[in-house]
Amino acid sequence: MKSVRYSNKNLLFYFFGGLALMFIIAPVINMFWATEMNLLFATARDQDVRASIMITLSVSLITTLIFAFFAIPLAYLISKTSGWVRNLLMGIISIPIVIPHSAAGIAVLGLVSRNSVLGKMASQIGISFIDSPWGIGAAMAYVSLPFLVISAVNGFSEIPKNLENAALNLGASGWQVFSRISLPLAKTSVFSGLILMFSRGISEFGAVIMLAYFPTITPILIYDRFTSFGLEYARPVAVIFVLICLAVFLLFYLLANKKHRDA
Amino acid sequence: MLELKNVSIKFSGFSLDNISLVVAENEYHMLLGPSGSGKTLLMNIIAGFQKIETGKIYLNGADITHLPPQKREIAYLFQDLALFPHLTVFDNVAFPLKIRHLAKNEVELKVMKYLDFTGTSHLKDRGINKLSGGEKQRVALARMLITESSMLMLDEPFSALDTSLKLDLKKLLKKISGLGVSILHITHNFEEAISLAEKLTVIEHGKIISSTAFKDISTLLANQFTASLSGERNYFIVKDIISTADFHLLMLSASKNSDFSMPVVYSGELPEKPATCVIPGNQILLSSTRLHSSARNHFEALVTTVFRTENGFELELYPIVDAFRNEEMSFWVKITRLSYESLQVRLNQSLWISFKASAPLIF
Repeated sequence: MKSVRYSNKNLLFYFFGGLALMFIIAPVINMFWATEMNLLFATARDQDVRASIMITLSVSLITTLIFAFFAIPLAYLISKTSGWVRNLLMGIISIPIVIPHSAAGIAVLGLVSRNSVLGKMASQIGISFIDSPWGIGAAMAYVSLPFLVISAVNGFSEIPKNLENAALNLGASGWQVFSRISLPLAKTSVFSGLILMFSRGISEFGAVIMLAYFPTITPILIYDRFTSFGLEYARPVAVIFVLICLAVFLLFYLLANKKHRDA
Repeated sequence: MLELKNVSIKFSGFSLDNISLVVAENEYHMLLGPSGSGKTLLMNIIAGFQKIETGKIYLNGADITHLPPQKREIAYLFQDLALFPHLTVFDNVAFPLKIRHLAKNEVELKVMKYLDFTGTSHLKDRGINKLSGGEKQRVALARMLITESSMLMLDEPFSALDTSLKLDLKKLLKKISGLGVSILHITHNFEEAISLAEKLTVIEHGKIISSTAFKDISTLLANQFTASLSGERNYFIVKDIISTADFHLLMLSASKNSDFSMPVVYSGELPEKPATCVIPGNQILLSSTRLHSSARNHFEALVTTVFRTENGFELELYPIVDAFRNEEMSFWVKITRLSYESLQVRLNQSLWISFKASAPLIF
């Protein structure tokens, strides 16, 4: 009797879980289904679309790589803390996730605008954050950095303490413990974090639009085509961008899994 | 030589109290204590992973109390072995040399030397996760030995091994102790301790109870706690002694407050102030009828508990006094499977206990 009841429960799980899954898949399938092929090819040849995809991918990639140098050491330090200190630091790291992204964009704009201290300092070396790839990068980094930090913290935290202690006991310096033991052991989590940060970066709209409408990143271009020409012209751009995002995500996923298998 | 002087540390609910310990040059020193007695904490203090509040730690005369772990030069075999799972056997053993930037051929020569020593050279290209428990143990020992430290610390190295692997490891540890190193080995197992120890220190609740050279190891039984660690449960209080020309009659009780005393004949030398008596379980004979032998202690007893052990059975028996079962004092007896079967042991069965007048150990 017990197993039958359990099996009924399983059916309910399948039903509700399946609905949630369909909710994610259906809009994407519908978007692909509703797009006319000739319009899709024409959009793929559109120089504005190509330029926007290029700037979106390249800025997000460069931003992810640059900020990795700061995020990974921060994650390592957080993984060594405990109690309220860890909770406080993780809370601070999560701020960009919990606040609206347009508000995040306003916050970053205030920090790097031409009248701000940082903006003035940057302008002296010829860098402007307004309507420039620097601004796009700053906005993308602000909203996507937590994904890398949180994933890396989890990875570093899972390393048994004795492995690091053994390395110290065998004569390794703090840097050698990090570079030869901790980072290689946490590499899958760190790599996943990098993928998440990159993916979050390329899909950002709300924060970027506050700093840089131009050069136009693809999420803004989709919005622009929608408001100017309607759904029919926005959809092909969205389809192409989604396909590229999925391809990049799949590539990184396979790479991460290969690394995991090799490890 | 490793020396700890008055080392103390306090946590909420646990403290290491004024620990002083000396591991002499080339000495195999066992630290014996039950789980939670502070053994591993003491290891972590010596290795530098845990700071102390008071006290000093010296290695070969140099004060290392405040040195960071990587500068202490004390090799440590962790209980979980702490082999690096992302490295091969070769790279694990080569780790201490690679981080010191030794030349490649020198690294290779030394790694192969210690892999050969521990009998693991054929595993050099294997990943750690593809090794058995015994192989991992040997690789971890090779990695520890390659540091060529004069002081080695082993944390419960036998804990995850089966009987045959334990024997192999004992042989390997004997071989290592012949390399001219000092070894501090912690364990909760008395048999493991006495099989390797040249000196045995017993720790309980963060305090050192005793520290004894192997030749005096039987004196450990004087303490009820260390006697219980050794597996000897026939620990009694000597309430009174009646001496005659050729023997002493000991009046033994289970505890100081017990009114019941049992007479036992003892023919050995008495210490100055006899206080406790241990009758080793393997010195007691069981029979279904009274034995006619040189043993001078005979009494009838009821079997109340039977345990299987590695080598046979362990029985708890309550002596029958004036045709009634005494409820205060019991004897634990170790017997072989053969004896168990020939006696056809069952609960509440009446058997005869016999032991020689020389069997009791008096402290």
